[in-house]
Amino acid sequence: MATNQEVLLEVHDMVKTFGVTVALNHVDFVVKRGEIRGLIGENGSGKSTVSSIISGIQKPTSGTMTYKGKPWAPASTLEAQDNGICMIVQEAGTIPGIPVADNIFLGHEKMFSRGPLVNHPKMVREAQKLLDSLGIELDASERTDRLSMQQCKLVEIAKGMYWDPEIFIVDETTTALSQSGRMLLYKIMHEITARGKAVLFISHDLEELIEQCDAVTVLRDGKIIGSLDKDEFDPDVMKKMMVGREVKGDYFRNDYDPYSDEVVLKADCITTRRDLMCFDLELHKGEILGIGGLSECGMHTVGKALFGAEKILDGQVTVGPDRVVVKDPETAIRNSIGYTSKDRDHESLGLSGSIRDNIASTGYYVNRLFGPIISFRKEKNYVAKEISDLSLKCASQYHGVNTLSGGNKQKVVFGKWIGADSRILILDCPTRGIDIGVKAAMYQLIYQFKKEGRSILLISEELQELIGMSDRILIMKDGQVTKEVLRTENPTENDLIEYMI
Amino acid sequence: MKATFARIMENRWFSRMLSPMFLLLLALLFSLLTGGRFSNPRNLRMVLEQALVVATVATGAVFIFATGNVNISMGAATALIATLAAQAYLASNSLAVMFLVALAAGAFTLAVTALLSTALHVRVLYITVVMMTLLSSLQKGILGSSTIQIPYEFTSALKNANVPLYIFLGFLVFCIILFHFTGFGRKLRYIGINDVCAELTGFKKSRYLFLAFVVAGIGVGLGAVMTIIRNGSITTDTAASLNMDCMLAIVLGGMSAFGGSRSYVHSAIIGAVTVTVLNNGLLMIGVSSMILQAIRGVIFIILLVLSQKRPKGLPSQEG
Repeated sequence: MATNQEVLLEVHDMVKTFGVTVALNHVDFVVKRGEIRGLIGENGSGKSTVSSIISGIQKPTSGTMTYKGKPWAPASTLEAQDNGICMIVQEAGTIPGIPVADNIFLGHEKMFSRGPLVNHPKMVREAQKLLDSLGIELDASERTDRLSMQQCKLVEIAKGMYWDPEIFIVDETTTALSQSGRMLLYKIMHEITARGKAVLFISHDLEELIEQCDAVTVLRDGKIIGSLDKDEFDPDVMKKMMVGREVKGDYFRNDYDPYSDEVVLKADCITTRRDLMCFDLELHKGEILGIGGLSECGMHTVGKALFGAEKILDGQVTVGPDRVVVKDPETAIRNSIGYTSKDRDHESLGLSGSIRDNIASTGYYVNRLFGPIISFRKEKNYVAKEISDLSLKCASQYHGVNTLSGGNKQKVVFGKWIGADSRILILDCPTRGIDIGVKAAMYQLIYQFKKEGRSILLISEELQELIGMSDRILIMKDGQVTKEVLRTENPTENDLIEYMI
Repeated sequence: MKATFARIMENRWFSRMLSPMFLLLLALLFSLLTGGRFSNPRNLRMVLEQALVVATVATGAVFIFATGNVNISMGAATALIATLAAQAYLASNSLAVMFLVALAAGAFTLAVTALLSTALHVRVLYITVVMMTLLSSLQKGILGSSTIQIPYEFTSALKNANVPLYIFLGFLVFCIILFHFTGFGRKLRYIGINDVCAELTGFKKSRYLFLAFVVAGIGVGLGAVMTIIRNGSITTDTAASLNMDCMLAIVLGGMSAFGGSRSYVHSAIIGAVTVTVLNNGLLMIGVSSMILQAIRGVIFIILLVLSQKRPKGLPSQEG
C-alpha cells in the first residue's frame, strides 16, 4: 500500500557536520502522505539532526530537500510551521513562567491583536478549545512551570497540532509521557495520517514503533542503512540494522542473586515541601531497589531527597553504618552517594563544558599530587579511564558535551559518579532517551555495580526496566508506597500497573 | 581543506594564542602609526607600569568572572580602600599597617558583597550596582574635596625598588596556583558552567562565591596599595576607569565574559596590557579621551557578542 502514495517530502544527499564530527553522511529518504514513518537508530546516528533540518531548527552543510514538489530550505521553525511542518523536540520546548495559551501561540500573538494590544482572554479561549478538542485535560490559563514534564509535552503537541501540520515530527517524545499520554499521542498521530498527512516518528522504543508505524527508516552513524515496510517489521532485524551486529533480545539480568541485610541508606519518615509525607525507605548493600509509578507520584522527589537536594521539613535521611544525616548534596557525596537527575541537561551536566570538565568534577580530591595541588596527569587518566570503560564516542576529552548525543551525555554523567567510586547510586530515569545499544551497556553496568556490592536506587517510569533489573520494587502513588514486590515473586507489568493508577 | 580549518578552530591552543597575537598586532600597528614613538622603551615601560594595577585587580576578578558572575564595583572598591590605606599610613607612618589595612578592607568589602548576594538571594550583578554607588559615596564622604598626599620620598623609594611589580608577581603566582592547580579554581569554573549541576556535584555555591570574592578582595587591596605607590595622592578621581579597564581586560585576554570552561588567570594579564596599549596608543595618535571611551565601549560590546556565540550542537533548550 505504501508504493503508490504521493511523496510529500524528499531529502536528497543531505550532509551535516559539526566541526570535525559528521552527523549526517549523504542521507536520502522520503516521507509519503498518509504514513507514520519511524526513524530509528542509536544515539548519535543522526535522527534528531535530520528532523531538525527538515523543521528549520538548523541548516544542512550540503544537500537539498523537496517538499510538496518544490525546493525546501526553511530559514526558521516559524517558516516551517507556516508551511505545515511542526516538530516536537526531545528536550523541553515550552517556556516556563508564562501561561499554556501563550506557549501554544508563541510567535503568533498577532492573531489576537487589537491594535498594539493582545486580546489575552481570546487567546486563552482559543487555546482551551484546542486542548479540549484534542482531549488534553489542561487549563489553558495555567502557568507552564506549574505543569509536569508530561503536561508540558502535551502542550507542545497541542501547539503543533493547532497548525494542522502536513508533516508532524515527534522526536523522542514518548519517553516523557506516561501510558495515558502515549495513548493520546498515538491517537493524534493516526488521526493526522487518516487525513492524508504524514508523521515522522522518532523513538527508541522498538515495540511502540512496530505497533504505530507504517514504515521505518534505519540510520546508523549518519547513514541510511535501509527502510522496512510494516510487513517486514521484525525486532531482531531492526536491532541488527541499528547496531550493525547481532543483539540478543533479552538484555536485562536474569539471576536471583541475593543482597545483604545491611542498610546503607535510610529515609526515616521524611516530609518534603511537596509530594512526600512521612516517607520511609531502606536501601541495602548490594541491592537494586526499583521505584516505579506515574511521573507525578513523587518518586523523583524521593531521589532528590535522599541525595539532600530537596529540603526535608521533617524526619531524616541517614547513610552508612554511622548513620550520618544527609542534609545537602555535599554530605551525600562525602558519604559516597552519587545522583543522576532525570533532567540530565540541566541538573547532571555542564553542557557548555568539555567532557573533561564534567567527569573530572568528582575527582578533584583523589587526583591530587600533593597538598591541594592537582596532578594534570592523574586527572587526564581519570577521565580517559571513564571514556574507555564506558566506550564513550568522542574526538577527545576536551570535546564539548553539548555536541554529544543523549546516550553519550548519559555516559558522561555515569562517568562522573563511577569515577568518584560512589557506593550508593541514585539513578533517576537513567535510560531516558537512550537507544538499545547504550541501554544494554547501562543495564550490564548496573548489574556489575550490584556484584561489586554497590547499592542502586533505580527510579524509572518503565516497568519492564524495573522488573528486569530490580531486587525489590516499590510502586508509588501520591507520595505513598502502594506496593512492594520482590524479584523472587516474578512480578509482571499487569501485577504492578494497578497500584500506580 | 574545510575539515582542516575546522580542526584548527577547535584546537585549544589556537584559541589560546588569539589574544597574545592580537596584542602583538595592536602594538605593531601603534608603532607604525606613531612613527616609532609608541615603541620607544620609555613609553613601553610606562605602559607596563600602568597595566600593573589593572592586571592585579583583574587577576583577582577572574575568580568572580569564572563563576559566571560580574562585579562592577571593583573600581569603586579600589578607590575607597586606597583612601583608607593612605589614611592609615599617614596616621601610623608604617608600611605594614598600610598593607594590612588594604588587604583586610579589600577582602572584607568584597566578602560583604558576596554575603549580601547569597543571603538575600539577589544576583551578584545587582548587589554590585548598589555597592558601586555606596562605596564611591563612602570615599567621597571620607575625602570631601580634599586630596590625600603621601610623602614623595616614601612612594618613590617603593617605586624605585619595583615593589608594585613584586606585589603583582607574588599575587599572580598565588592566583595561578589557586585557580589552575587546585580543586578550588575548577569548582569555580564548574559553577560557571552550570551552577545547578555544580550544587548537585557537592559544590556549595554560597561558599565558593564567598571565597572567590575574598580572593578578588585581596586583589583589590593590593591594587589599592599599588595605586597609592604609583599616584602618590588620592582624589575622588582615583581609579575612576579601573572597573571598565578590568572587565575589558578579562574579555580581551581571551576569557569568556560568562566564565565557565574558558576562564584563565593569564587572560587578566594579557588583557590588562592590551587595554593599556589601546588607551595609550589611541591617545598618542591623537584620539580625544571622550572618543576613546566610546571606542572602548564598542570593543567591549563586540567581545560580549562574540563570546555569546551560540554553541554548535543539536537543538535543545540550552542550545
